[in-house]
Amino acid sequence: MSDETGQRVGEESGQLSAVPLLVRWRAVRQRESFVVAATAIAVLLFPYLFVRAPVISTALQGYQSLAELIVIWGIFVIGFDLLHGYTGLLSFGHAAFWGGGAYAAGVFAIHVSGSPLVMIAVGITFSVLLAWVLGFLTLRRGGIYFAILTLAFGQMLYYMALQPLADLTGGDNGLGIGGTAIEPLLGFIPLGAGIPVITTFVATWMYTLIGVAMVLTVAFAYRVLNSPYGMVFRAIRENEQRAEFVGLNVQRYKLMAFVLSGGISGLAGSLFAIQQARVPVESLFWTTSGEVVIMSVIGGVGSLFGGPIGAAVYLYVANVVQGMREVVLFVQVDKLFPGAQAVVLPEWASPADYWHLLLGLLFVAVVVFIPRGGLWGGLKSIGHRIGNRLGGGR
Amino acid sequence: MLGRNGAGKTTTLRAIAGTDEPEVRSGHVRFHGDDVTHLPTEDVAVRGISLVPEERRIFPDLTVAENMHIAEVVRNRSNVVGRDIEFDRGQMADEDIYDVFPRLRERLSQKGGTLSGGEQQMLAIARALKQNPDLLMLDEPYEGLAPQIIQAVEAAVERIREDGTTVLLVEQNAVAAMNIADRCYVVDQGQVVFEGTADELRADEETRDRYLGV
Repeated sequence: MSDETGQRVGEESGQLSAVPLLVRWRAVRQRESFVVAATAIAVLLFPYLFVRAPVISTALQGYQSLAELIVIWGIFVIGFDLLHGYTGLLSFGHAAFWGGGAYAAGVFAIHVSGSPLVMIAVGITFSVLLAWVLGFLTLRRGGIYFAILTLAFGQMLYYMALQPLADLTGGDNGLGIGGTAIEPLLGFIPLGAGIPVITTFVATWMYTLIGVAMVLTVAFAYRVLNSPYGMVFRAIRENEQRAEFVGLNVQRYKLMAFVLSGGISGLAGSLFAIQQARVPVESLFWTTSGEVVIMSVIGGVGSLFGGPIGAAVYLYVANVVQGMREVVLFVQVDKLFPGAQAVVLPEWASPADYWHLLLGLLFVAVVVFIPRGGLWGGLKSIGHRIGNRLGGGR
Repeated sequence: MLGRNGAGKTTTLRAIAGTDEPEVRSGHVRFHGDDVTHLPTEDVAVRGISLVPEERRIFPDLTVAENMHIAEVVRNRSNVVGRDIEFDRGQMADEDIYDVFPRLRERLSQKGGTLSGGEQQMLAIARALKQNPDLLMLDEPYEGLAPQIIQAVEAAVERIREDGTTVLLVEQNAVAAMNIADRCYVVDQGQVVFEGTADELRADEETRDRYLGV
């Protein structure tokens, strides 16, 4: 069924793409504005729905710092997916860029300046340079060798932070930056303070900073993916050698994808350092690399919005569900239907002890039932189906 | 280039194109007077040698227009910087290519993977043409195609030849190949065992019988 519609669309717009590049560029720009606007709205609404909205937020048991964490990890997953989903390179060492960016930002805050924007710049710069070096060393090999090499280099960084560099990194204890070391935004806006006008939505400047970073990341990633660069990335993902036959310097494009991905991960890492005011040494550990892979698969590999959704689901289970000692169904149902009562499940039914198992089951379910699109792909196909119904079967 | 299965035809094409395997252990590949034997594949390609390999030769997840456009991206600064290559060759205009393959013009915004086998083959050749190669190498372009599609591809190949592009065609189907070839090479166990015009090969019953089975 979907093939049929695809063909029809193809035939209709076939002539359209023969028109000059400029027109096509305009169409891309239009779609880009839409994507950026949609992201901004989602980022704006998310903490409200998750933390403050009546009924929903109570049922979800969301809280502000988790909302912040979810968006930060969302940025990380987008960065990771740029490499894995779009270029087809599975890195198992992305903790190096996340943790590396976080440590760079944190160390800089302690020893030089705690201005958040400068910390972010330092974190990104460090990760970009690191990605350049690691990419140069690891990209010579493909497939499983690449995954293992990135894993090895990631672990190398972890052990460096743990022992030889302990004076700088705080070793096993992680790096305590301390809330006081982090200066107000632009010198006069405390990150914890409420932001005027849209406080109901985003609550704090901290979240606003993270949210703006997310919107910029999406805009940047979208622009890259729709540029010739993105086209080459996809071509490489589909068949590296064929891209060489065309005359593309595949090695160089892969390095660029790696560096871009590392830079975005570094951005996320520095935000993490600012938000937590500390950097746990685990942020360099391979489990962090594993987590980002899992989030990406759950949300949907090769889709910009899948990443943040995967991050949200993963972190929600890992933080909220883990703490659910008692499960209350139909929270505040009396507000909607007077007289109705919420249902409290018995303690043995609490999912708290099984949260790892829950995540595992979710992961398996996604891989089995929606392997290509993940949760985002699933949502999209439901949307299409509803759209088809409403559009009279078209 | 003709020969039985495993005679070394594809290997020869890959050696010319400069892929990692096979590794060229002896001999040289010269093109326009330059030694291109150990150049990376992408550098061989931009010097004017285009290989359309066997089977699924396109980027299935890219649209037809994107598949074509990628040949232009090759000239982008980001692809050229730091490489010892020159782009003195012109590019074939899209319109000229779509004149050869009118079917593609109708399918520009369709994903490559949704095309039929014949259309995919046309797209692969079209993309190679876009780079305006001096040598176009086609590895079994007729394999798995319906007879009337073969005719269409054959006509296109003939047209490309008439435009002055050298075509190195590898085929198992000797009869089809001899129909459009100026010169024929028969390969067996990695050696050229016959070299001559198509008419000479037609006349040489022993070679045909022994190496081609026709």
